[in-house]
Amino acid sequence: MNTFKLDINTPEKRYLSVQAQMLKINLPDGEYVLLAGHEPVTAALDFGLLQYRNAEGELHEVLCADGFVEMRPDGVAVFTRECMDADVLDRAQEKEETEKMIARQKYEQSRITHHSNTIFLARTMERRRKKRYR
Amino acid sequence: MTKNISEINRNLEAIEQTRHITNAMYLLSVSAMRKSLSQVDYSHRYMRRLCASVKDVLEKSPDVRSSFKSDEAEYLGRRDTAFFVIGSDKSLCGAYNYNIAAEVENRLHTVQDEGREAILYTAGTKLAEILKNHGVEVYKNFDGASQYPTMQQAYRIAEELIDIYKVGYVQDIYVIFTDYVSAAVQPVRVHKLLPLAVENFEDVPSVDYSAPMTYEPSVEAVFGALVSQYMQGYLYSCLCNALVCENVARMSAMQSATENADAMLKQLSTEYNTARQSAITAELTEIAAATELMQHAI
Repeated sequence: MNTFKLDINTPEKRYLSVQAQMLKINLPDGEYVLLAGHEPVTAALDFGLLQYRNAEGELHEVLCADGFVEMRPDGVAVFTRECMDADVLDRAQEKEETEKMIARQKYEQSRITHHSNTIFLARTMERRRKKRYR
Repeated sequence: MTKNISEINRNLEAIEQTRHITNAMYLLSVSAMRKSLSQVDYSHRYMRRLCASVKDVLEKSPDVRSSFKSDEAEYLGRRDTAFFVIGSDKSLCGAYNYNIAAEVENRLHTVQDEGREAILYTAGTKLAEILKNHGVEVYKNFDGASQYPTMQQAYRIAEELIDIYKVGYVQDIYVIFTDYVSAAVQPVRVHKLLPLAVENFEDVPSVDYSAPMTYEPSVEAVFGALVSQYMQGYLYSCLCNALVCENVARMSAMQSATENADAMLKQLSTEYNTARQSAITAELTEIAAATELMQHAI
């Protein structure tokens, strides 16, 4: 069966780049299927499951936020804010929440460290200034 | 004038402490810069591809009706301008925030000269503080967005900017950020986010399709989705770029501070040695004089 190149892009990273036989997407008014050799099309993507069949014929599901899909002669490009593998949805969610929490903690910690460094620097400079005029 | 040895010692100690801080901050900013630089490459490629799609729709579907297009915005007769400015949350990065603040003030004057008002959004606590000190009113600061840019942050900012545009508060929205070109070149850029016009994408190459492009479910729906993705993607890209530039600025500021501290340490060491030598010479002279006196006395 003919295949086409499928890229799923988010602003943070290229989530996926594979050869695919078929791509099924959610549009605001229903589902849409793209096969190799489809005419050039740009479609608004709705939040939901995106299904694709890889070159070996295996079906995969990806959960996507809203965005758009572009069918070009060189392949299909999906642009979305974020996406995750539907099979590992729960684990991914858990991981994402943990990462968010760690990032928040890191931010708070770095602010405290920066603040204390600034105070230390100011204190050192003040001490120097006083000693110079003593 | 020769300084007191203990005074020089105290100065040496203080400069040594300062040097430790500046050197540590230099090493931290090098590591942070390398980390954020990897994201910038991908971000640039993503934006080029996304801009090509936006340009394609604007060029090939000039009849699409959307308030996000420049001709429609002019028709609605809006007046004010919104600026989203990206600075830094932390200080000790040289003139980084001041360069951006200067550009902001310049833009604000231009807008005010035209008899219009400007709404200012910032990402960067330090930048917001500088602007406030210069008498510029900051409408809202997105805390943490410049230090740890994430898609969630970019989404939040994009939604807020799109909202104020949709309800008709502003005529146009600009983003002001520092663009990373190379380690030596990081100009402050001003980019018009909304309304969209083909002229905004002149440097983006057009795509040649084998057949006419179709839009599903409609060209208006596709344009709406494109605008949303474009805003989020562009803002995320700007935040990543600005973070690299901030780290480069901090790196060079801390490097020169460390070098200055080294120079001061060298100078003070020489002074210390001279003072110590003088003290020793004076002591020896005193001892010699005393010995001579004692011999005469005997």
